[in-house]
Amino acid sequence: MKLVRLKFRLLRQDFIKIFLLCFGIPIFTFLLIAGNEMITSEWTAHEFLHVFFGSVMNLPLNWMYWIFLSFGYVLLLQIVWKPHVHMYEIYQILRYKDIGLYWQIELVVGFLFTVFYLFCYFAVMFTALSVLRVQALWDVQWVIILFAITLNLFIHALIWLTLKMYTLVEVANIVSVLLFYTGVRIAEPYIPLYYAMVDHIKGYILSVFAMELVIILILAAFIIRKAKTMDLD
Amino acid sequence: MLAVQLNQVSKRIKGREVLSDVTLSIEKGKIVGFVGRNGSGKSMLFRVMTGLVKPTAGEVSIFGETLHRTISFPRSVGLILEKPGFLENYSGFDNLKLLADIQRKIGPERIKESMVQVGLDPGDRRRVKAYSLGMKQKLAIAQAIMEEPELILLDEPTNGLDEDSVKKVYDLIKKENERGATILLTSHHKADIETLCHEVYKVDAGKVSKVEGSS
Repeated sequence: MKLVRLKFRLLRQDFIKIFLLCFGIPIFTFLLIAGNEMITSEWTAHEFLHVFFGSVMNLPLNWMYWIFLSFGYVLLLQIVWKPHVHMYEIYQILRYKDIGLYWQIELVVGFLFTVFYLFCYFAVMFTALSVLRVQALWDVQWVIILFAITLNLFIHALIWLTLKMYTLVEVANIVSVLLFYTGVRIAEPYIPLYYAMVDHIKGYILSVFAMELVIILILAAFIIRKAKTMDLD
Repeated sequence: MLAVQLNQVSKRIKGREVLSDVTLSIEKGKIVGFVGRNGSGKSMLFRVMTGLVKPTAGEVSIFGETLHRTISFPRSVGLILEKPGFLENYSGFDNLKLLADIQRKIGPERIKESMVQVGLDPGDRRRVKAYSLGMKQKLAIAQAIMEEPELILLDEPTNGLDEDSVKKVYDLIKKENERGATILLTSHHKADIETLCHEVYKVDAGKVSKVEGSS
């Protein structure tokens, strides 16, 4: 826990960038939604969730909202997982004594920032809707969707990190952008982002969550395994 | 007791052999110098000894423990390599504090003491980005010695330092050695290395040989 806190202290120098991303992206997206949709006080929570986090198959403009959500997330990861200074990272690793532990902490912090980013996103949406005096805002679905998107985005993050470590950062970037882009434009079950969309969260949600957790663990194991065999030049 | 033992260590990177069949033993409590041209393999040797780079062949043992078998990195090591690297937006003290907090072996007083030892003011709240190269180098040395490690590897520790500071660093090296630390260093100042070190090795094209006359 103290090592996780230490990583947070390291990230303190990027506080402004993180703050702007976590609040700027949802504010911008909400303004976009408000510009595109007729938000009235007659809407229900269910309808809001479908507008914000629904499939592009049902609402053609949704892809824009998803793209901004994904874009902000990719930028956030660049801040959280970037090596601050290579030589400083070496000084740190020599003190950790275990590169596996170092990466476990990086992954935990990455997950916590995923939760934080999405929590801010939901909080901004919720607040903005409250300001507009719309009714029936609260729904347990908000929590389910938050959980589903968190797992789903974190899988994308781990795919990016795995590819970065096993191939090249360029390959990782291209694949991640493609996964997000095709995910929001096509919405088919063979594309991971499909399982984050509210329309696709149905009766089998628990099996999807279980499967996503297993994928997260497998990818994390691959990342730590590679980190242990890599040279630190 | 042997502090460092390399047994037929080779390292090949992209088809080029950067370390070639290196075998050497360094006793605990010695100051050992490595001389050689730029690119001869001195830094790579230090990276292999600290576990940062895995040898293609051979074994590295630190105080009897084999790297990448029983341990991943030496249990008690201080290192500076090439250009010092710090978080530019933090002060020198805060940089060291963040590192010291990983193991929590030492408190703020010892951090301040190590900064004073290298000639830095611990109360200086300027960010590292305002430091000169020499100050960054001093901070790197403070970082390497602050936890009083058993093994200290200093790659070109006097880079960017003025004459007075070089003398101060050499005094510090002697002091650390008197404490019991084994110290390995590289330097372009061959004469200084010969005065300071108990043993001197020459590194040339990845091969390491003992310099005649060094004990």
